[in-house]
Amino acid sequence: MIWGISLITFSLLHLFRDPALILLPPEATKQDVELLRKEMGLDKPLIVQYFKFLSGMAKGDFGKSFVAHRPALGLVLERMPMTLWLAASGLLLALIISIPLGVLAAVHRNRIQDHSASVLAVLGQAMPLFWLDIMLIIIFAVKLRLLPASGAGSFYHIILPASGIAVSILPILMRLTRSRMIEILSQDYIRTARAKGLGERAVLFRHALRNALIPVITILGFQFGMLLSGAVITETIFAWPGVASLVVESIFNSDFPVVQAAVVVFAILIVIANLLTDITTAWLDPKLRFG
Amino acid sequence: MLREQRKGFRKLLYLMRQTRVGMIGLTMVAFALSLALLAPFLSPKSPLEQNLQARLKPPFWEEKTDPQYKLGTDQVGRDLLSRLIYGSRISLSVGFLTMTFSALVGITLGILAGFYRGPLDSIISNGVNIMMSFPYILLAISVMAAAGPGYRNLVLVLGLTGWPIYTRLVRAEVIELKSRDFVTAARALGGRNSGVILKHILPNLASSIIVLSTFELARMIIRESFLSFLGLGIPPPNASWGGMLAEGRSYMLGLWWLAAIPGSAIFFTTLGINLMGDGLRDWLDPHTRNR
Repeated sequence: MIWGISLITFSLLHLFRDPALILLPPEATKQDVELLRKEMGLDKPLIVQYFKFLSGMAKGDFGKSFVAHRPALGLVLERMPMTLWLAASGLLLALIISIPLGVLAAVHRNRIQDHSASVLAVLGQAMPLFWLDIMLIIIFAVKLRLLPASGAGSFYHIILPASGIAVSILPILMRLTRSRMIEILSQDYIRTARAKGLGERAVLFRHALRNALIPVITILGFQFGMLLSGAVITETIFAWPGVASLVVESIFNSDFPVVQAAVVVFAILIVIANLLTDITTAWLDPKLRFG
Repeated sequence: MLREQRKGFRKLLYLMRQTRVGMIGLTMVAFALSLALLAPFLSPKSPLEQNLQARLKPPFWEEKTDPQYKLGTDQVGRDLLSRLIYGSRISLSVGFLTMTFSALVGITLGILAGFYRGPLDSIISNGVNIMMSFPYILLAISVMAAAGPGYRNLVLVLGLTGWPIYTRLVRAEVIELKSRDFVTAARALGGRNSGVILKHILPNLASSIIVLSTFELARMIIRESFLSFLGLGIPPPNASWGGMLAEGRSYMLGLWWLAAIPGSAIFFTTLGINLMGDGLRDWLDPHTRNR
């Protein structure tokens, strides 16, 4: 999979534009262009360039950034903690809100709690994330002056961007928790648990929720790409100094090595996320362990 | 033929009314659609006409408003209301075109993969997995940055990022349908593959494709507006909601409505489409009713 993504990015970035032409000022002569192309290895056939790129990738060498003149991978990894920190906070916030809401909606099915939760889900689903981010800034930073509008530095800086990300993944998590809980609460072992006099809280959280969470975690794994998309949008709006905003910047600057390094790092992250998903589901559901 | 169609349409309306939510959604979408169709008659001014004497006029609810401009004017004195109305044309047309484009590609690949299986299936399925786990937004941004902004490029790029979700759905359903008795019977009777696909498989896919397409339409509109927001979609001075939002963003500190109004338009439209999708899903798939 990582290979597939590297192939896509490599071809996309090289088929459209000549990096040498972008790097040089417009008044550069033809000879200058040729010289630079030779220096960068761009005069060789594409397939040779690609294999050079692949072997570099295996060694973690993506070349130097055209802009910062430093190894691209280093630039990307430097910014990584900020992105992970943002994504994890957003995810955590989404889980803290969506799972109790989903349980509440399932327990009070077709009542006011359920309906208000589903209204929230529909609103969250239709809300364009970048607009939500801007509105958060307008309301909490400009009007109420409670929180900083952009950048990073203190704990307060992360509240708005993390809320934006949380809202973007909240609806799907809540809906899934709800529908799974409804399904599970009608099953025999729940009736047994209730019949043996177990408190409602224990039935809900120890018996039902644990089983309901398995598909939620599976979906989370698949939604990781979406989470990263959300990070791209949110980092751009809030000027959050993470990898995603670095990539967007590099794309605008035609800084290919950085883009390629970041894309491959993202791909590796996605593979790791899928692996973690499998492990967690196996841990929660013994049936899957020997599948 | 025509009468049958009309009957079908009346049935659709009847059922949509039963699901109130869907009806609200349909009304909202119809409203946005009529704005787009009747834009030249509805907008009070030209969306491109500048009036430098009347720059940044506030909308009607603020003080010092100009009754000529109901929603105020932007930084070069263009009428915001007219730009908003014309913007619906871009959002809806790009949305419909990209949705149709990605649906056609996705459905074709999904049928090929699900019906013929084999090595073709593994190539297509791997492609889908790669595309779906990768943050689509990076793909869209990098291609748009390389290909350059513009209507045609935007439709192509969004269409190319949208197909995998169709392929995944269609492939799974085709595999399931293929094992059903009526398909086996049709093939046993000597039906050619193309005939079986067109007569027996496609009609059974229709309802899930319609539901998915509705939600995809909303998603495409959001993606279009984000790309235009970044300056990679519809180039200025054309009135697109994303572009207006980007222009309004610089005045976020004082003139908050410049960003809030076009964003609300996007939100209104995608909300309507999502509600309509919920209604359609309830109607077409009785299993999810009351879920």
